Amino acid sequence: MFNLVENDDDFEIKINGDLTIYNAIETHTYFSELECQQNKKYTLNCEDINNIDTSGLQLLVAFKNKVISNQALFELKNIESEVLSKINLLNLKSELFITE
Amino acid sequence: MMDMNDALQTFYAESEELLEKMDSALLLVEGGDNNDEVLNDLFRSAHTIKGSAGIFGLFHIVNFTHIIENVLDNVRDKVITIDKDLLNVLFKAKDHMGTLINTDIQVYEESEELKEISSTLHSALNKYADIKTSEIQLNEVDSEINSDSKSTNWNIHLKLSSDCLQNGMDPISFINYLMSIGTIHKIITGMSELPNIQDMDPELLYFIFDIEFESSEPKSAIEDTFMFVIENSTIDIIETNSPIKQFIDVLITDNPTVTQIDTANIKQTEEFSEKVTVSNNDNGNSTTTDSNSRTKFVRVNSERLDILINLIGELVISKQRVDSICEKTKDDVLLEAIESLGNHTESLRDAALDLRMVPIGETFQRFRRIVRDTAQELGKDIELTITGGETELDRLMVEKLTDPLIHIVRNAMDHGVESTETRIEAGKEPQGKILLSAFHDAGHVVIEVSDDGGGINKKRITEKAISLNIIDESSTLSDQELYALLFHPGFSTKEEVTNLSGRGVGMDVVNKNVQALQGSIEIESEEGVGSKFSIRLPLTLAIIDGFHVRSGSSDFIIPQATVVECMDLAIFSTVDQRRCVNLRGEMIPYIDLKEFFKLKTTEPEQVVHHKKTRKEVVIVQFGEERAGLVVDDLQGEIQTVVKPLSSIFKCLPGISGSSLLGNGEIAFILDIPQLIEKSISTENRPMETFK
Repeated sequence: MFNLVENDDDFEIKINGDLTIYNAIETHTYFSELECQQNKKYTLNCEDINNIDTSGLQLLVAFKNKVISNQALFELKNIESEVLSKINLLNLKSELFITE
Repeated sequence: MMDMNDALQTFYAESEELLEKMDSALLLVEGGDNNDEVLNDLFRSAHTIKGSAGIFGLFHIVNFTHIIENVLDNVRDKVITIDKDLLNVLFKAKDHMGTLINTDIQVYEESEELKEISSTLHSALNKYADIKTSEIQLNEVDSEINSDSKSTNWNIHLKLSSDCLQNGMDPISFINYLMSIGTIHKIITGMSELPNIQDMDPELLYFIFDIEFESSEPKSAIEDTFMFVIENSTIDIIETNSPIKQFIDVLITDNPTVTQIDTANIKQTEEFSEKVTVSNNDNGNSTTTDSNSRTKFVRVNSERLDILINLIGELVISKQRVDSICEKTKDDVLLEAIESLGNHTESLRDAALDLRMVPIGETFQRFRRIVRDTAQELGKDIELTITGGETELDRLMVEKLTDPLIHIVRNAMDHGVESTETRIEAGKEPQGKILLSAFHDAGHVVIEVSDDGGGINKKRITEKAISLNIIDESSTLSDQELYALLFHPGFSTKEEVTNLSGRGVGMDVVNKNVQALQGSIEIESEEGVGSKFSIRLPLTLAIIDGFHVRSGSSDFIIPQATVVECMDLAIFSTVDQRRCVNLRGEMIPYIDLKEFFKLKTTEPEQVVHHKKTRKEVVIVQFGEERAGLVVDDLQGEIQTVVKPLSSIFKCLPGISGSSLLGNGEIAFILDIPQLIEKSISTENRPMETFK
């Protein structure tokens, strides 16, 4: 479900599937075990996420917290409209550093 | 773990109750009782169903119910009045809501037929709702509500139960639903409780929400949004301009003026706080002393109750085993302790059985609609009167009783009550009457369906029975025997078969269903005056108080409620060599269980000869009929856990069930109505065994 690609100083994690309660444990395990390196950028590519629920949003925020606490950078990209609408609904755009 | 299903089941169960409530309210309106309370009930039922459906994303229900709600709102506001046409549409719309609730949204999307019905009913309701069918979209519902000038601003603080995600409840669904009944101006998602990712359980909810919300809906409607997650949740819904809100704002902003608030203000605020808490208590959020004065209800899955009853059944059997062991010890202290245990076991059994008791009135209320629709279909004018709705019966029995009752009521309307013209010709009131009543009688529940129709035509039954070769022309039958023919498979005297009754496939099934509940049906009828069907049922089928007797080598249980008295058979002299005894002037037929079940004595004959030649007779009663059961030994009262009969014994007459005794032996539970009937029918046969 997760593909990690390293480009120079950045890491891009492609998430292949929805972020919902149904796969929350798998997502949590991956995010928890991923080691975050200082000054690196971690980009979550969301183009294949069609659905997200509150458990998924909590995991995104928790992962973001982990990244920044390790003094690394966090970014979300290619966010599908359905996912973006839920982020907007819970007013989490600034929390997840979404600027567009 | 993922238990969305539980919440959905609750939604289905509550919707069913609300639909029944709507039915009752519509019937009241039809009867001219359209006061504000009834109309509010009607509106609120539709509104709650719509709200709950929205939470589950069942927008086919939301969209359809919304227009009903609009119409009912117009009725409440006296913009329109309910006439006969609107009433008929509302009845159909309510039925369609029931269909939609029981239809999966995907099935609905693929069903042109259901969509067509929705569309037709929408069109019919539209002229009363003053909105176009095509406009029924959730977003437009939103804007319509938002344009209402009476809207109020609310601050909603949501700290939902941490396991709500695991139960399939996503706060996003609730927020989406709030958007359908008002406007969300702002949401602040609080993350103060979100732990580090390593410490978090990904299936628990940590987010807390503060929502600025504007709606014209009352507070109760906003509270209803969260009805499925109220347990272990903190939900505060406070009007923005309320004093309590102002006070909280002051505290939150840590304004220096807080120190200037005098004690009177603090006291006032405490009172407000209390009111807010009590208001939340209505939804079961938390507990305070105020709420204790109110009766509270907990919705419990009925399967859990069944498990509890079964376990108590096992406890009763174990207790009997302990009893028999302790009796042998002759230890007084132990016996005293066991007696106390017995009393508690009995109380526990009664309390558990009581949990499963429901008033029959809930079922009876459905008949108002059935009678209304059936009368319309038959073109007859019939009034239904209900009495004894508070009579309680085991829920399992109520469920199984509904279909037989529907059949009897429909039969009474179709076959019994005459047309208005015929009634007028016969000098009767033009309106026919059906009475549905229930009452307790000697440990049983009796449910009666009576009508003031033409009564049962005995001549026609006889002719039909002869033509079907059930009886021959020389047969002489009593009224009861004649009426019993109605329960014969395929028997119908109605010449014209209607889609309501008259196919002769119903009454025998009705009788079998009632017998399966250990009950019986008795018919009384007078030609030209009317008929009465009386169903007599035990209160429960699970655990009964029994009277333990022995005959030969076998143990039998007589349901305690049927036992009148016991005595030595020797004191009676037989009457004219007939199988009956003279009990204080009353001739009572009897049956010897040993002879009836062809039982053998296990002990050697000489022992029996010396030990005991005396027999006992237990007088039993069912309804108006009495009989004596001759047995060898009386063992005394016993709590009996009723177990179903194995297939080998099912064909055995006179046995209705089995039970396990404390010593591990099996006892048969006697079918008293059947044995009484048998003893009456064999009363005049020559005596063989007993002298």
